[in-house]
Amino acid sequence: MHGARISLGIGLASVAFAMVLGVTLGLAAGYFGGRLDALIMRIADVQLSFPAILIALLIDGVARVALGGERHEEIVIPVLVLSIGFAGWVQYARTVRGSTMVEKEKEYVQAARVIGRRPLAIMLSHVLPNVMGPVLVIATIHIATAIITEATLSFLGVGVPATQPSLGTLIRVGNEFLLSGEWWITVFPGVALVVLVLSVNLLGDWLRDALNPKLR
Amino acid sequence: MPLLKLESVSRDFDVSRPWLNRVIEREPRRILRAVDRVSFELQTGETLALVGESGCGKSTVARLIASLYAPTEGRIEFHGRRLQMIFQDPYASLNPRWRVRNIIAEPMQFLTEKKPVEIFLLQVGLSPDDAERYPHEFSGGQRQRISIARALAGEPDLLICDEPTSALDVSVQAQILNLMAELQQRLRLTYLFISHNLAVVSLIADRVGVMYLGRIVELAGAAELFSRPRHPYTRMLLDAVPDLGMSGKPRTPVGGEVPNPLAPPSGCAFHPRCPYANPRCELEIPRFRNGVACHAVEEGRV
Amino acid sequence: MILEVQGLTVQFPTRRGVLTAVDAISFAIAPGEVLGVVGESGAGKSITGLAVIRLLEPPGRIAAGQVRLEGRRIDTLPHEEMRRVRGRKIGVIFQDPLTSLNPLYTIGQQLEETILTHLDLSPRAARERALSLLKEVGMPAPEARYNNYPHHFSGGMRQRVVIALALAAEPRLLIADEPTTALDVSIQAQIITLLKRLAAGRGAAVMLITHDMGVIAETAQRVAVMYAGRIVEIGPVREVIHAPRHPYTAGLMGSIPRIGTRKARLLQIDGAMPRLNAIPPGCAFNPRCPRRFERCTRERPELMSAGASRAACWLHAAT
Repeated sequence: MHGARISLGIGLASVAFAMVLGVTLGLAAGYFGGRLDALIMRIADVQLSFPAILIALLIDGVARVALGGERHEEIVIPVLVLSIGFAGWVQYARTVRGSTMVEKEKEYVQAARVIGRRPLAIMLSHVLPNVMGPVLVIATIHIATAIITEATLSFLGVGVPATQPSLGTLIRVGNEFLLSGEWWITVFPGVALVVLVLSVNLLGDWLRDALNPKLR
Repeated sequence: MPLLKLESVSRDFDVSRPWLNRVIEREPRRILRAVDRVSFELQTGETLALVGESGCGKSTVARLIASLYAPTEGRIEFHGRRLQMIFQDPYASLNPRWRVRNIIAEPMQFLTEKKPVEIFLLQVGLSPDDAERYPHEFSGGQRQRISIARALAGEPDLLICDEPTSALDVSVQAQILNLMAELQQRLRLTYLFISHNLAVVSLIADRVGVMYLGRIVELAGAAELFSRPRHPYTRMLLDAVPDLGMSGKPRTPVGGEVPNPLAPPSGCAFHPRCPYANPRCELEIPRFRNGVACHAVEEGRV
Repeated sequence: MILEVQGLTVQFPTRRGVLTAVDAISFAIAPGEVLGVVGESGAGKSITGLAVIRLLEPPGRIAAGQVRLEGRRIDTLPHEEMRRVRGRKIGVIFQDPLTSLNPLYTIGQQLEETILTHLDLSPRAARERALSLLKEVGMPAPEARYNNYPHHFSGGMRQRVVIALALAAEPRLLIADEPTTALDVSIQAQIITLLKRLAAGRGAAVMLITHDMGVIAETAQRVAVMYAGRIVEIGPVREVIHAPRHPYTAGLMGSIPRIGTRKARLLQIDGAMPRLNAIPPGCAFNPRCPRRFERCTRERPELMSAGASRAACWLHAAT
C-alpha cells in the first residue's frame, strides 16, 4: 500500500503539473494564434522529439550538480514530478490548442467579445470549460503512463530509491524473482497498478460526464 | 447626428498560404478584400438591412461595426453607448456549459443598474423558470430568444442582427421576426439587419443596402427598392426569388455565378453577368451616386 | 405511376422505446410529375426519402407499408438487388454537392464510371454520354472542365455535376433532398429551372424534398405537407398554396414573408412541432391549432377529401 501511495502521488502530481502547463500554453496558443502560437508549437515539436527519459536524466543531472549528491534523496520525488510533467505537457497543449481554435470561432465566444469581455476572461470562463473534456480523458490515461515512466526512471537509477518502494520499483524488483517461485512480489503490485489505472480512468469518465450539462 | 456612420470602410483578409510554402512555391501574398469602401449612416430607431449573396461582405460589415474586426481603411463612428449582436446559429451562439441565467446576465456586468434576468426572459416570451436551465434543453427558436434576451440585457442602442432567422424553420422564423418587430416598437431599438433573404428584409427593413463582392451597389428605402429596383444586380436578385403567388410571370433566367472574390472582375464587379454591360463597365469602377453604383443607371441606359 | 408508397412506417428503436418517425404515409408519383414534400425540420420528410431508397441509417427501419417502383415491390428486395435497382432506376441528389462527389476523382471519371456500371456502353460512348449530360445540365465548356476535380467548381456548378450524375443511368425516379438549400438565391433559380426541365423531358418521377415552399411553388405539380411524421395535406400545388385546407398548412403559408408585405405582422403558429417521443394523442397538431375542437384531441384524423386536395383534419369530416 505504501508503494501505491508513492506511485499515485507522483502520478497525480506530475499529471497535474503537465496539465496546468499544457492547458495554459495550449489555450494561449489557440486563442491568440499568430507568432505566439507558432513559438509555442515549435517548442512543443522540439520537445516531442526528446523522450521523457532524456529530459528526466537532464533535470536530474542538473539537480544533482546544483544541490549536491548527498541531498539528492530528499529531492528525488519533486525531480521525478517535474521530469514526467515536462515530458507530458505537449499532448495537452496540442489538444487544447486544437479545440480552442474551434471554440473561439463559435458565435458564443464572438458574442462575449461583442459584450466587451476581456480575452483572459473569455478564455477562462467560456473557452476553458468547453475544451476540458478531452483533457480529462488524456489525463486519466496519462496517470497510468506517468506511473510506468516513474518505474522506468527508477530502473535507470534516477528514480525512487529502493528505500522508498513505489509500485513501479516493486514490479521491476519482483521481475527478477518471477521464475524463482516468488511470483507474488511482482504480480500483486501489477494487479494493484491495473486496478489503480482502471479506477482513475473510470473517475475521469465520470468527471467528464458530470461536468457536461447535456448529460445531466 | 446619425447613430452610426461608416465612411469608406474597407477590410482585407490575408488568405495567403503559410510563409514557408509561399517562399518555396514562389507564390505571392493573397489578399481578399471582403469589404470595399462601404459608406452608410444609420439613424436611431430605424432598421437598415444589408442584403446579398454569400461572400458579398455583409457579415464582415456587421463584424466590423461590432469591433470583432478592425477596418483596414476608413472610419466607423458609433454615437451610442453600447451595441449588441445576435448571431445566425442558435446552436453555437450560447455557451453550452452556462445556465441561461448567467448567459443573460453576462452583458449586465458592465451596467451600473442591474435588472433581474427574469424581466428579459419575459420580454422575449420565455418563462422565468427557464433561467436555471441549460441551452441544450431548448429548441432552435427558443435559443434564438435567449440570444435576443442576452442582447437586450446589455441595454444596447444598436442591435446588429446577423442572419438571425436563417437557421430557423419558417414558422419559428415568423415568431422571431414578429418578436423583433414588437421589441423594436416597444424599446425604440435600432437594427442593422443582415440577411440573404429578400422577403425577410422587405418585411422588417426601413432602408436596404444591396451588396455585391464587398461593395454596396444600391441603397434605398425598402418600399422603393422592392417596387423600383435600379441596379441590374438588385433586379436580378428580385427576379430570382421564387414566386409564391404563382402568377406564372415569366422569369428572366439569371446567368453566371458570383465570381471568385480573390480575383474580382475589373471595373464594375457585376459586369460579366450584367445584361446592360458595355466597355465602360469593364474598365471603370462605377461611383456610388444617388443611391446606386452603376454606369448604365447613370447614363440612363436602364 | 412510377412510385407508389403505401402505409410506409419508419421506426427507430431506442433505449427509451420505439420512435415512429414516419407514420403510415401513402403517396404516388406519375411519370414526368414532380411531387414536392414539404415540412419543417423533424417532420420526417428526409427520412421518407431515405426509406423509399432504403438508405436509412440503422437502427431506423421500415416497420410497415409497401414501396413500389414501376409496379414492383422494392421494400422487400434483398440488399444486393436493391443496390442494383438504386443505381439503375433511382437517381439521388442531396443538399450538399461537395459530399456527394468523390474529391479524388475528376468529374469526368465519376460520370463515366456511373454510366459504365449501369449502362451497356463502350468507354468511348460513355464519354460521349458524360459530355452530353454535362452540356444538358448547363455546364459551360464541358470538354474543358471534364478533367477537373470537384473542388475546382463553385457550389452551383457542383450541384449541376451531381444532377448529371443522378441522371447518368436514365433513372425512372429522382429523389432530390433539399437540392437548392445550400445555394445562393440566383443559383437556386437556375437549379430549379434545370430540375424542372430535365424531369419533364425524361418522363421520370421526381420527389422533391424541401423546407422551402417557394421552391415547391416553382417546381412541383403536387405537394405533400408533412407534420410530425404524417402527411397532413396533399394536393395540387396551386390549391395547397392558395387554399390550404389543413390549419397547419394555412399557418405555414401565412408565416412565409413575401416581398411587398412591409412592416406587417406575420401570421404565426405558436409553439413548436412535438418531439417524436411526445406526439400528442388525436391530431398531432391539435395543441397548436387555432381551430381545434373536442374530437381533435381524441381521435386521429386520416386524409380525407377537402376541395381538390386531401387533408387530415376533422374540419373536413363528412358528418
